Amino acid sequence: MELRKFTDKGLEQFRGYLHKLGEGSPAELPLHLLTDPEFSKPMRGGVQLEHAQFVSRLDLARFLDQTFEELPERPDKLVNDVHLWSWMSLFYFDQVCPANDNGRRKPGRDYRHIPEPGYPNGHRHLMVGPYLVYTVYGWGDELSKLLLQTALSIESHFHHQVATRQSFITNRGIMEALHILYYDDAHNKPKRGPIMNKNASGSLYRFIDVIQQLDVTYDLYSMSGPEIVSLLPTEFTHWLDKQLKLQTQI
Amino acid sequence: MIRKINFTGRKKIKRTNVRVDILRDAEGRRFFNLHVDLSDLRLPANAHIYAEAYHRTAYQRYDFGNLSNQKSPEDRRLNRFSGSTIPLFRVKVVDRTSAHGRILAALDKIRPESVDSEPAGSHSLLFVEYDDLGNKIWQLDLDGDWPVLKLNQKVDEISLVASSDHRFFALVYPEVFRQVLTKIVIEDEHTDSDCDDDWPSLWLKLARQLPGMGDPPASKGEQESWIDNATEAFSAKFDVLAKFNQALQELQ
Repeated sequence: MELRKFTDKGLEQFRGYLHKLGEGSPAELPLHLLTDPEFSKPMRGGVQLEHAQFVSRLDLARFLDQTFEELPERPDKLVNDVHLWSWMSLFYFDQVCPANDNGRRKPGRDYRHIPEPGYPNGHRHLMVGPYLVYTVYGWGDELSKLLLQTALSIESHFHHQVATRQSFITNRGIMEALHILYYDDAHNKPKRGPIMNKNASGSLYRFIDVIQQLDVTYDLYSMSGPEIVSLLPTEFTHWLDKQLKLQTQI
Repeated sequence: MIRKINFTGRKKIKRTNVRVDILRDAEGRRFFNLHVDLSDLRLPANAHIYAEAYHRTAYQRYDFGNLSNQKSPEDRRLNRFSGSTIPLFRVKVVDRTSAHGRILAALDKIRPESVDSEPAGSHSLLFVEYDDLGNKIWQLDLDGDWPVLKLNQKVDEISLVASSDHRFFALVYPEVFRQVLTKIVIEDEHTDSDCDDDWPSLWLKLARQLPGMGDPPASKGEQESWIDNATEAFSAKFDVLAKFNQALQELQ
């Protein structure tokens, strides 16, 4: 199908649908909004969109990165196009808001499906969020992994905590440090534990607190991931693999 | 009372010693000029100067050399910011002689003095941005780096309405004033107007200088009525009621 965007009317119809779902109504998916010229119109660029199945938000981000490359608009402008991303949400609604065993869908807050650009909820749209991390911030395959490992309908704690903090998500050194500490490269998935307990030593939440303290004293933007890790207190050491532990001790 | 105490030994660059201007090159691309005077801080000559521009999700960093050889980078374009966005700036002086770059002096939340050679209201307490707000006319954003009054870009002549329509002023600005003070005093528990020149202190100074107003009380119970009184004093100072009535009469 050609890539389209909602008109104002289409957007309001989609919002109405989300509200009905939120009230528990088993309303039918309004798929006609995707193609009816009263409710949507084609994007410039003649991009064709496929009904692909994505195994993770990272998988989606890769797809969006390649697909939207053909559009004339720059990525940082595209992310503010509420009508486009809302249309995208409806197009992939079975993946961003799948029905449960009882056939019910639970859409959650509107901003998960209709973006609210900017702080504090811009990154929480289920399609914009991965695109921001992968393409706009430019973290690509390697450094996006930790934040985008979940299914399309789930925003991970890693994403929620990191993407909301401009000084974290824009800083390569911090993104590398997060990867070094909390990503299990051997099994290609986030390590278990750092988000389980807010007060646990070495947790993601402690990492955020400690980095915010270090940011007052050190120019973290000029530091690499390993350099930032070497500044962290010992409570984070147990997340490091053996080789890195040795290096930091030396 | 929450006071900010500097434990880091980091020096503060005076706001009056920094000036940022946003301009356009021959191809219409935006870039910035930075002038920073650090002569009063006694910093080492080999310390590096960095400028950082930021707004929401966008961030760019520029190397201005070291103190003994301060030079503007050739590429000072603001190409990661969309056209209408006015980023804030941060200046850092960093000691790079050790393994970890230590910040020796810094100044944050610097507003440009001018944009396209027009004054940008760098000392404004409230910035204005235009956005798609759905069916809302205005919205106050207190979650960013500086208070922003967002106006719905889909409203006809919203810029003119917001700047010159007395009805808009009367209905919106006292409420903006109340919400800002509530955020500062009650939510953030910041009651010290002499603390620094960040926006909460500047707004508290404004409130304190209104007729009949003093410092905000420390007691939670009295803070709400202090905010009420400040909002009333603000409305009185700007003659809100009379101007609102006059605007209504002009309609008839």
